[in-house]
Amino acid sequence: MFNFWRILRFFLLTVFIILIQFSFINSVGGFLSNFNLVLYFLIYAFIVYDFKTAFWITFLVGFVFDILSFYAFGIHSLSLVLTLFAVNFLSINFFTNRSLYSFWAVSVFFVLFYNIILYFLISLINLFVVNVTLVGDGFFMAALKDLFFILIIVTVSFYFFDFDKERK
Amino acid sequence: MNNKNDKLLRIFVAVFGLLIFLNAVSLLDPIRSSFSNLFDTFMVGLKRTSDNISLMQMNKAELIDKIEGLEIELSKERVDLANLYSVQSENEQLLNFFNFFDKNNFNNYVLADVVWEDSILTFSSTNKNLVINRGSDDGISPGLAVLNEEGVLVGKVVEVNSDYSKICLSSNSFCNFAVSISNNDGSSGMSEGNLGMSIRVNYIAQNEDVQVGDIVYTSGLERSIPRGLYVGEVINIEKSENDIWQNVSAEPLFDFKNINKVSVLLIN
Repeated sequence: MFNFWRILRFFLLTVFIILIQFSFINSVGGFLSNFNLVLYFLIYAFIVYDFKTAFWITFLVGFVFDILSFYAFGIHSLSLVLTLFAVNFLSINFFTNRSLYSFWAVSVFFVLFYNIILYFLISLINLFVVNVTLVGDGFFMAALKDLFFILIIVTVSFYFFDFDKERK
Repeated sequence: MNNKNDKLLRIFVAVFGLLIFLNAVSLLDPIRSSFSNLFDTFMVGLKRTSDNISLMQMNKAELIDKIEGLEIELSKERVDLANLYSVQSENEQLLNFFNFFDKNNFNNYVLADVVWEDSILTFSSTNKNLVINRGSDDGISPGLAVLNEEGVLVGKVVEVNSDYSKICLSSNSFCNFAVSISNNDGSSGMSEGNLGMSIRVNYIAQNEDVQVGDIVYTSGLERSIPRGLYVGEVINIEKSENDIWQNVSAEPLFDFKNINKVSVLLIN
């Protein structure tokens, strides 16, 4: 069972990472601005922690995203949690070993599922709600950039953070 | 495992539904405002740091591009400015020409641009010839006087083709003019260039009184050169008892290197 301090620790870590992403990385420009730290953090949590912990972290991230986002409330939480369930399903049934290729596959599906689900939900809401910001043409190009950099970081992390060990 | 996930999913649906409801009734607004109150300073600091880094990146890459762009623009402005100066200078030159012609009642003349300097064919750097872009088609013939914008005689036409004419400068050693000196005796002689720098006035008798500062002008003894064109000013006189003639040197008061527009006086 989660204790209070653990929840608080994850919450503060989540907020810190999101603030770094929003206020620093997104506006720093150049090479670094293509890096999606939040998605990497979620993939990291999924790989390193057990599913339950990863779920709550994902939910926290989604919640803080929704607090800060201008889209309809809940859209990020839903996208991220659905993504987590989908990737977890693939991980249990197809990518069972803890090799680098498995982590690449997990990363690829995490980024793709998240962007597709988010795009679908935004489009769906756009049908019924006026004044929702439309997804631009660069949406999936940005997703591919996310994917590219996340794969690099996951590869580096695999060797430095002992990804090949069992989940905590 | 599946049961655990189902349980988690049910919890998520319940919490998610609750949050949607709370947001719909604006009960999440205090959380939003407290979130912004808590982290505003941190976010502003991060943003400034990020902007500074972005600015530093701009300093390195984009600023160089910007500077290069500005340098190109500056070059273009300088080219325009040079053109403007050139046009202004040309206007002043033409105005001076017209004033001189009006003042001296010269009605028949041709204005020409110097197109190149011809010093190769003379095999001497001190004997420069100028080539102008007017020729026999414009009525120019050998022997005609060539003036600068102030009306000072700069040379004489020596060769002509249909489009171009060659001018020998008055400082050339083979460029001669029939001249007079503005002394009491009204001395006459023949001017000859001296090493491309000054003019020597020959055939001035020893007994004639010439002073430094006297003006040398064309005498009108040449058929195609009118009387009274300014040639130079006496700067040095040497007399030797054994010589028949005295050595009179004059200085042409114009810069040989900066002649770009001239007029050729035609025979009336």
